Amino acid sequence: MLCQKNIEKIDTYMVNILNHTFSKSIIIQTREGNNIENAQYFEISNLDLHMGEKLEKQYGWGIKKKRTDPSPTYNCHGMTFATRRAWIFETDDINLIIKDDRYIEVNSADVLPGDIILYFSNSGDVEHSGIIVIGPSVDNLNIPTIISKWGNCCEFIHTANCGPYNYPNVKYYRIKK
Amino acid sequence: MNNNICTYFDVNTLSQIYMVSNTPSYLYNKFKKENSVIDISKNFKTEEIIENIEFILKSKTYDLNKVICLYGLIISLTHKPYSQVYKLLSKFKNVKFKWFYEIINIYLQTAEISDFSDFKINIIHPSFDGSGTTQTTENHFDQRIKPKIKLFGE
Repeated sequence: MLCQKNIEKIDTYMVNILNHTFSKSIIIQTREGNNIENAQYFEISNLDLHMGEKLEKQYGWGIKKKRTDPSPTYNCHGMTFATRRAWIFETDDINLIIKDDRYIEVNSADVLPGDIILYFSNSGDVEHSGIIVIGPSVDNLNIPTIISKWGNCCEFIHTANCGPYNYPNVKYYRIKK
Repeated sequence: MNNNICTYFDVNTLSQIYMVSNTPSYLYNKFKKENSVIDISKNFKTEEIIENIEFILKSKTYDLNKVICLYGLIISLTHKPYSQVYKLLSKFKNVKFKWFYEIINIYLQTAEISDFSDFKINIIHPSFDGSGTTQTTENHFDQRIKPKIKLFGE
């Protein structure tokens, strides 16, 4: 049975379909069966295609590898939480996933590969996310290495402090069971 | 109409922000702090900015510059007084730009309503018995209730 929150979400979802004929949504649900609002886009510009190289140069100090080409189909949250199937962009939806999927927050010193990292804006929005591939150690000055997708652009393997997102305000999470 | 407003935007910086934006709120917050967006707001009237938005929305083809310009124009409005912008934003319906309504919705939900010039409010004058009397009966506060995005999109 749908709760009020889901009905509101579906209303928004329908409006999105009406308004964005160039996009579509798919069914994405949490462990608890709550729907997650999402969108798939299909358009990619020439600038998107070249932005990867530009960002690689600009953030070369922390980017270790460009992992994919630019893709309009999914964003960072879609990569982290929806196996690269769509864009998820509402903080409420991320919070719902964290709760329903039983993520628990992990201390930065205890982070392991496979944990996730969330970047929060100063106003509390989840502006970016990624998956840890190398945990913190003395060798990397306790800064983990992650895979994340930067907007419309590419997936990068990079140090967590590298990129246009708010690294001072990150939290780490893990599903333990 | 001055339809060259968009030439004042720092397109390189705004494009990069657009490219790495994972969420509408990220794009909104970053654009809002950009100097070229603030300058547009300072140097052009609200009506001129709205006219330029309408001009772009009438285009039959969209390229990335138009998208960047559209976002820049909308977000430049957020530096204008709320009372000037609110009614004008409600004109836009069935817009097919990615995140157009999401951005307007963020503005409506986060706007600081400090400009009361367009709103008639009840003024309570204390009387000597302490009960107070209402001098103005017309109350337009309801206009300040922030609507949901779908009101514009329907």
